[in-house]
Amino acid sequence: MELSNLSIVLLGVGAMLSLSTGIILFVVMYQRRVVSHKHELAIIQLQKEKELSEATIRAEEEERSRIAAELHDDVGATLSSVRLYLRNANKEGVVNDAVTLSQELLDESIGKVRAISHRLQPTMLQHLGLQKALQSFFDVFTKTGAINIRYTSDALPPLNDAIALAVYRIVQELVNNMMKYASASIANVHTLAHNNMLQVRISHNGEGITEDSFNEYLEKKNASGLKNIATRLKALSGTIEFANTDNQYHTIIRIPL
Amino acid sequence: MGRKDKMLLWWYALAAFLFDITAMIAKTMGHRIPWTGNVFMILELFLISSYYTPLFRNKRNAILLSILLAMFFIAHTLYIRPFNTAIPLERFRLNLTAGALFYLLYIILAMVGFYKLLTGPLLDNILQSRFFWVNVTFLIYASGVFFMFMFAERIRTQDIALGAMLWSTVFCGLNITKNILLAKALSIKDGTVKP
Repeated sequence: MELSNLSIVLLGVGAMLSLSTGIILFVVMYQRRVVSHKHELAIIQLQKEKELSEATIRAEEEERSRIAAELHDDVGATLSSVRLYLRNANKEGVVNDAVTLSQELLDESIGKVRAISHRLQPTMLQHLGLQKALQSFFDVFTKTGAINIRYTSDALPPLNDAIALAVYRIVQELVNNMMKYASASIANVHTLAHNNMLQVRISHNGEGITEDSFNEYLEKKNASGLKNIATRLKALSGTIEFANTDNQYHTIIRIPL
Repeated sequence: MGRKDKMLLWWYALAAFLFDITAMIAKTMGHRIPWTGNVFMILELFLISSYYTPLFRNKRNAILLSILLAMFFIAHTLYIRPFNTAIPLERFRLNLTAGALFYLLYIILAMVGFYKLLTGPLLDNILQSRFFWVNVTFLIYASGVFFMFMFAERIRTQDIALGAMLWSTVFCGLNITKNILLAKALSIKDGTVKP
């Protein structure tokens, strides 16, 4: 049977259009598959990065705990023994200025070792919670008279250890930086939990940093403290924000609960 | 593919619009000015090949190919065809056979475009890419018109009424589809899709 001209053209055009549509569908579906694969890879990569950050933080905390324990149990105990010997020497009448001075320096050293040990391993955080630990940490600075840190907090829900420790360490680093570089005389710290999000706001009247300078520091070789903040926030999917209003610099930390 | 390439598409859309309007007015007034179709086909060749030239490493060869094709088309229209026709005026009528060659080229160019899309920087949503819609436009339009033009000469000599019917249905249908798809491509703003 011979096909008519009309049938040939219609069939041919139809076949060509079907082929074109097939090619277009293939392109769309192939591209979607590639995009979906890329997203899956990105999720895996993100998960791996998060696991790596958590492992780094965990290892760091374990090392801090080990050093704190060594300082408290070994160095601290040795220094206490030396102090005891010096007291005995004092009782036995071997009194001179050198012994007295040694005793004073030793007391100071024991105090410093204890302080370092507590900083490395915040036992107060483990036993009394974030708010008490932060209050105690700020009191140390306020007592020096160099700065007045006022701490207020709304009622916080029970926090898991990882979040509490991360917030404590981040605040510790930010306050240390504020003491070193900001030349602030008054600071206010406020913690609150809202919409399943823990927020910490640190405000001071000194010189603060901006978001751009924070990101610049992260690119530099040093600034390990700020890098630690970023790592801890990344591990908890948290954010950091910087603002400047009415001669006050604000740093706002948000961590999902 | 940037703003300059979008301008080429606008020029193409304008040329197609002017040609369609001219053909429609001439037909309404009972005149036949078939040479405008040949001019449009050459213009179309230069605009489409210019649009796709950035995709090729050797741009000079791509331009040369377009010029050679255009020269072949002109030679075929003016000198080769009269030997096959009895009426001298027919040399100016729409050169469908050589035109089919152009449409074959557009099919290849659209396929190259798709290949470049798939092997280039990954787009989050390909349907938001102007270049994708341009390729869709030319692939659909050229593949339909290519087959029609291949057989149109034969139909035109054997059955004029059927030729006219196919022109006003199949070709016009493809032309409208092309214009809609081209409008979709042109409606996409620069930088809508980020790789």
